[in-house]
Amino acid sequence: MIGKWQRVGIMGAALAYSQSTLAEYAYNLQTPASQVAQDVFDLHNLIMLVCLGIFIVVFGAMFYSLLKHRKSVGHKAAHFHENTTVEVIWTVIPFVILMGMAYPAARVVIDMKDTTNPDMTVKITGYQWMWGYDYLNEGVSFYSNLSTPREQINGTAEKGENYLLEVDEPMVVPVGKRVRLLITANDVLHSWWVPALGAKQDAIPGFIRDSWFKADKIGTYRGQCVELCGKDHGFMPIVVEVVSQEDYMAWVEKKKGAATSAAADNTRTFDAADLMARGEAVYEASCAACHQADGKGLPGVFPPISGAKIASGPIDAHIDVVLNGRPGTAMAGFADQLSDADVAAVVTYQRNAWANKTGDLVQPAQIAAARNGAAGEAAASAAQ
Amino acid sequence: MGQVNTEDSAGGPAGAFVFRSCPNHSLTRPQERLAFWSLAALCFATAIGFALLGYWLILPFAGFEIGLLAWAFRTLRNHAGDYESLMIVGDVVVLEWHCGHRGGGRRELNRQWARVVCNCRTPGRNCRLSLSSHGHATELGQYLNDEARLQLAATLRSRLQE
Amino acid sequence: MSDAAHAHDDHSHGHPSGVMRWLTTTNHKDIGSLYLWFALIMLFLAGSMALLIRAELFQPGLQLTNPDFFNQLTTMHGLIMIFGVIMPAFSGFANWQVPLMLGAPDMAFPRMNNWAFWLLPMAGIMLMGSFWLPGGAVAGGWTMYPPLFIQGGISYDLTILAVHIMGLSSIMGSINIVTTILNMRAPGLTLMKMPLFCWTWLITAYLLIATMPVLAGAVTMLLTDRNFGTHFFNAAGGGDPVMFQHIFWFFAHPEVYILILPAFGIVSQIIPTFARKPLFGYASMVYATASIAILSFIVWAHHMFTVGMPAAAQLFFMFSTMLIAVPTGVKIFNWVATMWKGSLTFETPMLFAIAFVCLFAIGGFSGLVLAIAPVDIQLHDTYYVVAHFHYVLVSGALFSIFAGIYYWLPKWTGNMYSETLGKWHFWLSVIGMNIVFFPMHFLGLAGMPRRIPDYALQFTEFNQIATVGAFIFGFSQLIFLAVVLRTIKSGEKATSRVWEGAEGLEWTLPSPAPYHTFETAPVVK
Repeated sequence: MIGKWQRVGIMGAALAYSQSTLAEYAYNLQTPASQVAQDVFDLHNLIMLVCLGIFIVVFGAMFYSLLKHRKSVGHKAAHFHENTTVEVIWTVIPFVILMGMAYPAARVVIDMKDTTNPDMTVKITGYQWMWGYDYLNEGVSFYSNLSTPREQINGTAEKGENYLLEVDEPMVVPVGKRVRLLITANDVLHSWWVPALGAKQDAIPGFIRDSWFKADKIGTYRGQCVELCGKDHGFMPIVVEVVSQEDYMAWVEKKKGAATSAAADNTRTFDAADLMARGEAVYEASCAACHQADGKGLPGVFPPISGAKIASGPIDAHIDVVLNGRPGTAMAGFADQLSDADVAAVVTYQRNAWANKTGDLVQPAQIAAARNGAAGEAAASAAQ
Repeated sequence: MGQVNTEDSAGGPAGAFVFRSCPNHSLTRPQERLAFWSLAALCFATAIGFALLGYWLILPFAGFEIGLLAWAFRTLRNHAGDYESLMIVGDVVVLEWHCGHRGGGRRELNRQWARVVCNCRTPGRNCRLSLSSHGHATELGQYLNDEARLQLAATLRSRLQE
Repeated sequence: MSDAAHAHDDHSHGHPSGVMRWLTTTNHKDIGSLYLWFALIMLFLAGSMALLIRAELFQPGLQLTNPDFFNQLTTMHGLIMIFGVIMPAFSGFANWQVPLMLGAPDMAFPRMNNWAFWLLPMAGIMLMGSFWLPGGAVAGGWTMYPPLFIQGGISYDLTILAVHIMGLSSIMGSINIVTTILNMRAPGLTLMKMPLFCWTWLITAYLLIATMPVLAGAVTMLLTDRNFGTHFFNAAGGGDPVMFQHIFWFFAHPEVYILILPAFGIVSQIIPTFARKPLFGYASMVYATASIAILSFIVWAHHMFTVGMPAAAQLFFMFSTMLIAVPTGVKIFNWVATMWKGSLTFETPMLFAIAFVCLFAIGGFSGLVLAIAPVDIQLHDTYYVVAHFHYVLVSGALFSIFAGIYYWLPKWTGNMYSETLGKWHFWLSVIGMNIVFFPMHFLGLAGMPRRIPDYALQFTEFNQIATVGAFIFGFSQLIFLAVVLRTIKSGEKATSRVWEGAEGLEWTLPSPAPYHTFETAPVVK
């Protein structure tokens, strides 16, 4: 009987092994791409082996008893019910095993918490529902949004290979450099996690926590937000591109150039078609998640914009809400995330799309003025 | 709440009939102190700890809850001495009782005048047994079940007629 | 269960009948039945939510729910399963069994017992009703973390109120159980002779009393932050959102043991009965339970390794959490030793108890994996954690409830349940449960976050397996309902002993247990 069970067990193990070679690491943590992730991977394997050993011993005994000590095979019950020696032994042995596990675990903890001597520092900010990256040394800043099209999510288009794990602007870092992460959030809790790099840190509004990673291999590593942050919690992935030092330098140059042209936009004057086209794109990226693509919002949760007073009333109030948000509600301020040109475009779009037909055009200069407070008010009224 | 320890004809003057019953009370004072004060200490230590960090709203709830616990233990303690006893010595029937905050009492009846009244007719209630004399009835057997109460009634009837 | 009480109402003809009887009852058996029925109804409600969640997750993309409704489902599933199913079911067992096991006529405070129960349906209606409020039910997770919880609509305030009501109910229930166990033991029944079920409930009630003010305070501070402009958890006003997590888990880690200690008690009653051998190491079981309870106060931050604590704090909470494996291990070893050289039979309660020991141990091992801080940091908020706590709460707490129902149902109703149906229920549940939750370990390891309505393509296969398992598991609970209803109505008459190996005061009573029991205390030698 036992022999048969053992054979079944060996076959099962063999089957599990053959499958695990087919789909790489489908039964374990992702392939590590950093030393910390490797340490965690090894630690996990070690603990699993110990657990497996204990499981086999304890439940081997139990199943032996279930087979041999049954009433139906005529086993008579013994009457022992106490044995101090045995009790002491099975209190002490687990304790010793635990100490054996605690030591390597403690070493990894200390290594993970050591964020000193970074080669570069990136500030990461969680927003509902995207990530913002600020390269403190290089002066590069950008936002990273989910780039999977809505049609794929709704099932009207074929899902791509990196469905839900792709972004418009990935985080780019050089290989083999210690990257210190300063992680915070703008609205609610988020959590930044890239499994292969072994870095996970909650993003807490009002506080900055740090973490670090050092990627060993060039490649693209994907992760997701892992702290419930509201409706689109499942739709704010993280993509880290680890590149060579030269590619990284080239990328930094390119980003800086893009920033200059964006700054130039803020002093331009746009015509209606440009504003509406740009506004629709900004709306899709920053507003549609809550207020919906049709501007009707979600009843009871997120208010509509289409046909709403805010989009037909004074322009100043409208701009103010977009820039500064509504305290105490889910409406966050977009002053930091959107450029003057973006805000001008999106406000124009909201005032002229769907049921809204105000005909107002808002230019970047008005936004710049609104950002400058009292002076802004005068400028805005002059423009009207 | 009522469990019974009964003893017949034990204690009291020789030849007397004694019937004493009381609810069960297994909580000792040291146990009560340990249970109450350890809970109170734990709750208040936690609440005060968080209050010192500025999160003081736990304190009122801890206070309310420990108050409720204190009330519960006090109620039990009040009832700790509950008993009922009936003693027939010669021509005198002595009833003594103690019940929680209503306190104790004692009544002496003349054996010849005492009548056993047993009412099992009120629907939805247990039988009620009382001893009545001069138009004034005293309830008996609160800590007994119906069976034991009826048995006591029978015993009393025969004892009172001796 | 309820019929049992009816049938044996024979000397209380004038009791209020119908609804009023149940509204006004102070009888511990009536109240026990009420708790159990409430838990069963809530099990089906919260279980349906789980099936809807699993159906949405059957394939990538959004098919049945929108993300906001999905979050409402996961949140309400969690809240209702914890506060509406597991806790009331254990309270039901305590109400039925504690007085019977102690030889007491009723609970210490019968009137308070009635209030404690009737608060629960009120809270249940508020929670369920919030689905129909503008904005729907709460979607911020059962852990209610601010600032997300501050953002929601009216149903968030209603949920806070419901949590308060359920907390009040738990406090009254717990005070009742503590006082009953301490004060109403039959003469001779010393604490160290009490059935282990009473011990585990004594410790559970103690934990509840110790931690409930913390929960009440935490949700009240959320309420004032939401409505009265306080800034307890708002960084902009000088508060700290992470402090909510500290406060919440200071309550909720003991709560985790509140959800499992009575299960230990039930299983410790059942295994000796069917092994026909006394429980091995009774005293060490009591000490192990007490040490788990004490440790539960110093491990809370292992739920928050990723908030960014100093290394010293991480190490402390990692070591203290690992320590819990020692008393938990002792319990499992003692159960195995109880079976060892027994004379085992495998009726449905025993099958569930064995599955409990085995599968709870798997939950314990994944718990040990999660106790290791660096590994936890990788696995925190992934499906690995979902797998872990469902192994502990489904094959742990819920299976022990099934085991207990099968074990005591003959005593409560006077009828034997159908062993054939019971075995069908067992095998379908145990197979279904493993198909749902085992693949979730792999999903978590591969990096699938929890609480997401849609997922990347590499997670598809395991999610499909889990969904199939969920429907097997969910629908096999209808068998359980059928078994319970049939047993109440009919079935072979049970003897007063019911099980050959049963020991304890409750088995000296006739089956079904009369409406009033032990008005005269038995004496325990």
